[in-house]
Amino acid sequence: MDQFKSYDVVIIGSGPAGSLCGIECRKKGLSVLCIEKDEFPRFHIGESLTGNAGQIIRDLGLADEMNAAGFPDKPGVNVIGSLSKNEFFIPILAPTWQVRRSDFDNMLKRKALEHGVEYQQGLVKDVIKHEEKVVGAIYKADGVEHQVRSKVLVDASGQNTFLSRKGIAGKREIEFFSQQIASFAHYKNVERDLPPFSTNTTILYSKQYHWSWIIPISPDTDSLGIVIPKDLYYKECKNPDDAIEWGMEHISPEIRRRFKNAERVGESQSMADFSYRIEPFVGDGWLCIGDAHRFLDPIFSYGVSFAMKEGIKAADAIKRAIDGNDWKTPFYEYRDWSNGGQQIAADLIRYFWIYPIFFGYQMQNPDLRDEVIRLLGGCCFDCEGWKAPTIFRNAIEEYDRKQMAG
Amino acid sequence: MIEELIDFINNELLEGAAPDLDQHTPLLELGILNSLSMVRLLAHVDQRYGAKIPEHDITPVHFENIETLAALINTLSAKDEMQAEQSVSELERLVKLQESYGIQSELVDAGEGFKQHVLRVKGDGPLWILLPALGNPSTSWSSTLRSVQGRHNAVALDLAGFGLSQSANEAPSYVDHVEFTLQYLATLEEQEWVLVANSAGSMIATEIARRFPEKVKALVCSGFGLVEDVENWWGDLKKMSSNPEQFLAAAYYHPPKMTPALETLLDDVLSRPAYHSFLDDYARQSIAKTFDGVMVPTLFIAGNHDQIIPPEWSEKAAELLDNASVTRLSRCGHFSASERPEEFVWVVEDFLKREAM
Repeated sequence: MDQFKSYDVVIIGSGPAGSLCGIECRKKGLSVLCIEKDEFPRFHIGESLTGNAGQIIRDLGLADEMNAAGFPDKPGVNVIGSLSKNEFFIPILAPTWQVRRSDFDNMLKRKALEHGVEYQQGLVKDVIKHEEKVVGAIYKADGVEHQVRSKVLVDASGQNTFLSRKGIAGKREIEFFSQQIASFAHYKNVERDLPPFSTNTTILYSKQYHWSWIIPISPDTDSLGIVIPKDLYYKECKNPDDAIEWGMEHISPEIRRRFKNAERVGESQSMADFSYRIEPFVGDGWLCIGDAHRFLDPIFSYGVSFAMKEGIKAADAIKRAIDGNDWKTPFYEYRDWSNGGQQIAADLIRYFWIYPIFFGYQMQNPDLRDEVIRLLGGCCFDCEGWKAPTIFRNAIEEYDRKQMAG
Repeated sequence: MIEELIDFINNELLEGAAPDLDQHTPLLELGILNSLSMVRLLAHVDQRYGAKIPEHDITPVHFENIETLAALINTLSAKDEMQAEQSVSELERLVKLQESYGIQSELVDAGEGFKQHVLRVKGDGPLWILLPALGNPSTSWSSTLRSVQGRHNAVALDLAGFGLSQSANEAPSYVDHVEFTLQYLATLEEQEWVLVANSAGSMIATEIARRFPEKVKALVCSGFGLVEDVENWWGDLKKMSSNPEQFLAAAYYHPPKMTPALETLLDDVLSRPAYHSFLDDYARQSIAKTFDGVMVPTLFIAGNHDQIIPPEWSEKAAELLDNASVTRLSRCGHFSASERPEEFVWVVEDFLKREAM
């Protein structure tokens, strides 16, 4: 029966989560196969990185390559409120970049190959189970079905949420931020702020859950996204272009000013139902990382950062699981660590939306300023004993209590 | 109290834009308050009701509407509202507010009858000396102080004749200001400085940098540059100052609307003898030579929409110096440290990093 290839770790998907998990597993001496359905490079949304992600990239030795690729430095984030009056700037925690994801994900994938991650283009169709333990996967490549055995199967399939769809992981549950639709496209000739802040991420918001991102992803191209509630989208917009037009008209005059002479490059797209969580997301012989189990909200660019952090943390759990032949404890620890950090990020985002003015005010509070900058820099997993998360949690609990009562 | 608060928020903070405001109007959701008006509201509550709201009570639940705010004030009020200190000036109130953030207020005897008022924060590295624009009090550096607190040592000065500084000379000239400032600097333990200045404060800073290159490690001038046609520029500025709204429009990218409180504050500044004595004949002649012989590393921060000192003038000044650069800030006017506070600090820190400080 041993005619199937066998690996310590089989990873579904070679986005940032899959690549980082693969690299870290290889560093720990494990054999890794990564199965990716798409031919790279391929388009992906999520183009701004946190300072935390920047540090991970430098640790991989990719800083020079990032600069050579023309990815802009990201000095920070401008958050601009309705009527452009309530505005604040959040400096980035550690140097980081804005990226064109097709090129960035490809760079990470090449790095994974260098580390000895084996790579297979193909579509994973199902898992193989032995009793209750997941022991491998069935995938289709070049029109033929193959089987591969794994000690641990990692779902890094992103918003496809493969293991959830197969009923191995839990069902996809809608999160707070899900009643929105994001519409986005790339543009040339966008008016930018002057250097050094020309390559900031700019977030513009009007009412709750009506917002826009502007992210410079190369020396001459900017990504524009408009996020609006679903019911508004279906009422006012027939397609992504309508939604972008609506946003330019209603979210902030600053968008129109910057895009006055802009030309769209390529198609515009829309995305709905992007905010969800899946429980459980670890089990006997398997675990999920990155978007494969949870995506909160794109507003503070946590996606890639969390995906990479979870990839690294999962590799640690996998190594301990294999060494100790213990398929529970290390995975549960990974789960609790992930849930802790994601909860803090979710609180931060909800607090911002419920109380944007206080968020701006807390940015000026010397007691909290550093913590808020660090949290926005992606440090949501390493903030034990900090004051800001408790303040946000208490305010949200109070708000929810009132909503329930009233 | 509720009626008064409605009145204050509508007239002072909202520039009269919300006549329907009542005690149940949600202040936060409608964007009635922003982080700047929060600061003004806190100062007002302290002054009018003697209620200093501690940081841990500055939470959304207390600012939901005027009713919840009034309830908090009632529990905090130190004294009966009728007895609120009427004698305390707006400036003293602003300074008290800074103190509640952990910023120290000091009145330093600098000798010869001059008492220098400063706001101070502690941190590492050379002392930042923050010199305000003519007429602006030390509290105009409040965003900068709060932002660098714990990271840098910094003092913000009230120029003689303004703020809470005390001097026998009510109408100091530019030269007097340089001397007063040097008098104060001589009292400091720290003798390594980064001078960070705005507008006319930059003229004082530049002079000190020229004379004490061994003490001034770096110079940052904002809203300042080479004024080639001094007489015309000064004439235009004086004309503009007689119409405060026009002045605000020229000085800010997002000009604040004229409210009664702002008008009182501006009237106070414009009527002070010190406002008119700064640029005497000697100073007007000095402006053209102000950058001669300045050797210390210098950064100009120019608001891209500054119509008081256009950014091109900062660039001309930088060209005169051996070791100077200019950073223009987008969507920003003459008072860049107030209008783009976080970017301002970022740019200064980046400059000091490049100068290996």
